[in-house]
Amino acid sequence: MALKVMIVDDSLFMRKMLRDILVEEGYEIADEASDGVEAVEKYKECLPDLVTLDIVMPNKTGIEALQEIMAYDAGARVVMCSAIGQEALTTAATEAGAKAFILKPFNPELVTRVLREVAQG
Amino acid sequence: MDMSQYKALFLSESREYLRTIAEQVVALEQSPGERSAVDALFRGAHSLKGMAASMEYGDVVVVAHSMEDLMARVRDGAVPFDAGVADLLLEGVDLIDVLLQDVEQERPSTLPTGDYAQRLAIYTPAPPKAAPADQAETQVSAVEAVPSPAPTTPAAAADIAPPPAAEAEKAKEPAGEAGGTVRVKTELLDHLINLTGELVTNKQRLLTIAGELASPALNDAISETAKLLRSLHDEVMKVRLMPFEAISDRFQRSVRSVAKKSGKEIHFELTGREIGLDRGMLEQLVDPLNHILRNAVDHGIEESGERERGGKPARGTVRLAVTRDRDRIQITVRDDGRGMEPATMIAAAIAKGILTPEEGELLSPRQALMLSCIPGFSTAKEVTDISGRGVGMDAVNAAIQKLGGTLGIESEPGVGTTITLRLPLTIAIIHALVVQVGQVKAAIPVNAVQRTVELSRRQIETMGKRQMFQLDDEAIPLLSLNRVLGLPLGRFPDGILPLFVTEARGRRVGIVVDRLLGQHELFVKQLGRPLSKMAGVAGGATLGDGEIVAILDLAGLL
Repeated sequence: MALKVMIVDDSLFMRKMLRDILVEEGYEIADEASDGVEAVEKYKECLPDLVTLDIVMPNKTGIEALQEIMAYDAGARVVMCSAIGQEALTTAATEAGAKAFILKPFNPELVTRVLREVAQG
Repeated sequence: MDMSQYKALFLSESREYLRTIAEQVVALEQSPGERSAVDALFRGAHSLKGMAASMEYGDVVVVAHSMEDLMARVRDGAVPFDAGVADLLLEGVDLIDVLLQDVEQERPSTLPTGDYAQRLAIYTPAPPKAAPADQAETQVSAVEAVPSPAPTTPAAAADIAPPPAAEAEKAKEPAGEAGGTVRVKTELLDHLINLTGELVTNKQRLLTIAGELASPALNDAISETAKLLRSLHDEVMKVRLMPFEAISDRFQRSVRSVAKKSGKEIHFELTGREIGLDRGMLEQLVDPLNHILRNAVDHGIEESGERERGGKPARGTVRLAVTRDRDRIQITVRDDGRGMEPATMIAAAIAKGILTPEEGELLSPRQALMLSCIPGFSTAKEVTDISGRGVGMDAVNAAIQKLGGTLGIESEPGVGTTITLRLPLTIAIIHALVVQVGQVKAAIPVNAVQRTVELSRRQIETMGKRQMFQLDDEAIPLLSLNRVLGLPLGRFPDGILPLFVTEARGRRVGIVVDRLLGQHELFVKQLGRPLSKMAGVAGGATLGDGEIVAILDLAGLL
């Protein structure tokens, strides 16, 4: 059965691109969220197998959303995504329970490889 | 991965971010400590950078990245948000805007980003008090009218109108995915308008036929259809409406930049940003309004020293207000500057050879102010310096007339000037006076017609080479439309000359035609090339009987 992924990014452009990459690879898109608050809410609703989580977002940052998601579901598999400049936050993300970190712009092969590794534990 | 499929989305979302950034900069200038605006600015630049990197648009990445870094320094308290930061960010917005146009046109970048990134990287705030005189602090603030309600019709919401600044957060999420709204291509809307216009024309045809048949039942049915058509027309037109705010941020920025350049302190107020205008009209209002605002700041408002000597506050005020009065839109630009002196305007026009001294004496103060709209008058440097206004006002006036609107000037020396634009709600359907000249029919938009007159030959006076007649104690020269259009002159065997009165080059003129055929509701069609190049013709339309008329642009013709 296809793995369900939830995509979180405040940019429609980024979500669309990521969605196309993931659908091409056979993933099912569980839902999409455009800010941190929405991400936490939707996570609880759709309980995806994987989450791609942007860091710089309105209302609640990706790091804050990650902490809440992990508090709700310690088994959550979350991959952080961000553009250059936010590397300083990788440590904070890893400490909060992120499984991996993908740098934007998205490289399709890299995205699918990282997600596969995270999915396989 | 084929990225070309994402180009349109990239462009539309990037432009939304640019708008958000520009709005937040202006918001921050008014309340510099606003944390959420600082964050929103940072995120805007960050998201732009990420998207541009995905599309591999290196120049955009460089500019957005340096904006993001500067905002990070502001966020972390290393740099205060001051006028220098605001300038740099707005410069970045303009740079990216041009770069996006290049991307859209698929042409190599036309604008070198130069040392932009470097200037941001080394930016340090100017020490307080040390600002040289020509860098006088400019304060631009916007006073909001009642907060605008969201567009009420789903179709209007589908527009790409930017949200009010207060809702800037929502701009992150392009409209269109929320429940109850859909994105619609503008061509589809234009097509709907076209069809509605054709129906209006067809109704006119039915009316003509019904008139011939004299059937009451048919008349009833047609008048019912006419009512329905009017509602349909109104609804379809609403779809075309976009809030004025879609263009208003540009005005704040241009006032800001002119004020800065001329070293003046300006308080800029904007009200009515929520008022909806025809989308086709909005774009065409940008240049004229920019012109008027620039004139107000550059020529209208005095230097602060002069103002204080005149007992005025050192800081000048320019107000841009948009209001709607049933089916008209009114836009006023009011300044509290030095105003214009009618006598000075007349003297300048006489000096330029535009008026004879005798003609000058006949002008009312209102007409004297309108002299600034005459080509040739306004470009004269020495005149604008004296009159305090006038650069390019002829172009502004022509643009407003083309939109079916009128321009009025009121001014009180020493107190200020108010320019009022009155515009129709839509530019697609107009009311026009249809006239017969020679073998052809022509239509004149009613906004250009002050009144119609049937003049007896006896009332015509000859003054020099000119034929004139008296109207409201004013001598009005006569012109033949036949002559203007190069058609055979009318004969008028019963001694009655039909004419309409219009305003040309700042004064009233009587235009004689062969016959006045009455007022019609016309659906304006733009002319294709090469006809669109013809001066004096604004478009075409079909009359109820199927006959084609040219819609005349009198400002271009006379």
